[in-house]
Amino acid sequence: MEVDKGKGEAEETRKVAEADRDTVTLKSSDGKLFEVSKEAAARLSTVLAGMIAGGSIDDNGTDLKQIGSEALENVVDYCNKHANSIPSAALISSSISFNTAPFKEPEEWERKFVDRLSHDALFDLVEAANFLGMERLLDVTCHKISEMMKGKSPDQIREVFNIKNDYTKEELEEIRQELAWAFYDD
Amino acid sequence: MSEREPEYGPEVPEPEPIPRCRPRPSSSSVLDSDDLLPVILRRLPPRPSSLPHASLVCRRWRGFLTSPHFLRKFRAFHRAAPVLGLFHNNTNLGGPDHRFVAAVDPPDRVPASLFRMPCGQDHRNWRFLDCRHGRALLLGPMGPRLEVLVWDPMTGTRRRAPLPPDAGNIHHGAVLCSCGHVDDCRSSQFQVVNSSKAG
Repeated sequence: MEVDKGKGEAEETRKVAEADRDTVTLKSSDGKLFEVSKEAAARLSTVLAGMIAGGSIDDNGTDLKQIGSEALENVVDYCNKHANSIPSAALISSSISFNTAPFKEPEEWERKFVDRLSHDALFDLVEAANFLGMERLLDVTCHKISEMMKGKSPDQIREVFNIKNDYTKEELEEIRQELAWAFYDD
Repeated sequence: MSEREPEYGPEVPEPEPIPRCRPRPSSSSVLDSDDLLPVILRRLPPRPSSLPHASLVCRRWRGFLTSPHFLRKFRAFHRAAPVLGLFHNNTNLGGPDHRFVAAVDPPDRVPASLFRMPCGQDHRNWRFLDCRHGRALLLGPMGPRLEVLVWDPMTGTRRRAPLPPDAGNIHHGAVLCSCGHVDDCRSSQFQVVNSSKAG
């Protein structure tokens, strides 16, 4: 970079160079760098899309202080896999809000992607997806967690997620009696 | 504490301050989040027993799972509600005010006693014309005239309307939501269509 250029000009040059790249570099909370397709990042993350459009992506690695390296690696892996997969018609329409969108089954590769994650990695990825505004990844990871609850008794759910039972015995019995039909095969 | 935290009887002695469901550290920030927990719970299967089972996990979960806001989102998310069973018009089957037959196995089998005929003592003279999108349409006598009754068996909500004097003999009827299935059909307005044979 030429030293006699004004600061504004130099900044402008850097931004143009950044805009020309096909990838963006993201830095995890523990300082690790990851490259991800700019197109996929902008398409899948509202936060990254805003940063790219606003020119606040740092060539030397955009700091994502809230996301650890393992979660960020999974985010980048998901973006790259997504970039390489043929999106189904259901996934292309992103105009439907996450909060009101009806359920869409995860694609086969998405299912495999979350199935290989450990318990901790899955929850870290939910947080990362939430932070980055990645609706589809949040959808897929939350779906996986709900699947971990499926078919389990309340005791088993508490055990899997290490949740404290704060009901009294009497309260539990009262609810069970009120909805006795739902506990018929317990 | 969330505003949605349900209230419990003050007479129940608490051995310690009301604990918040405290998951292990890895999942705590997700399951402790009032934004993320309902997003996860919303994805439970739309089977009748799903929410009752999950609501026994802890008070906070029950607070979410029983809130009208959550239930509206749950229905909108899953769109197609499961078929619980059917209503029939045979008063000799199962008792005259029990006209519901469950179509699923336990623990999702909702008992017929929860869906008693909503027409009072005179239920033998009422018959089902239609049932869809969570509402049932019944036809029965009101004094010398006939009337239709729209019933939501899940909430017990009833709306009655007398038929016009020239309605004739009603053979078929339908209750239709007015939202075009884009919203929560059961919360939307509805239309009733009856057809009768002339003469």
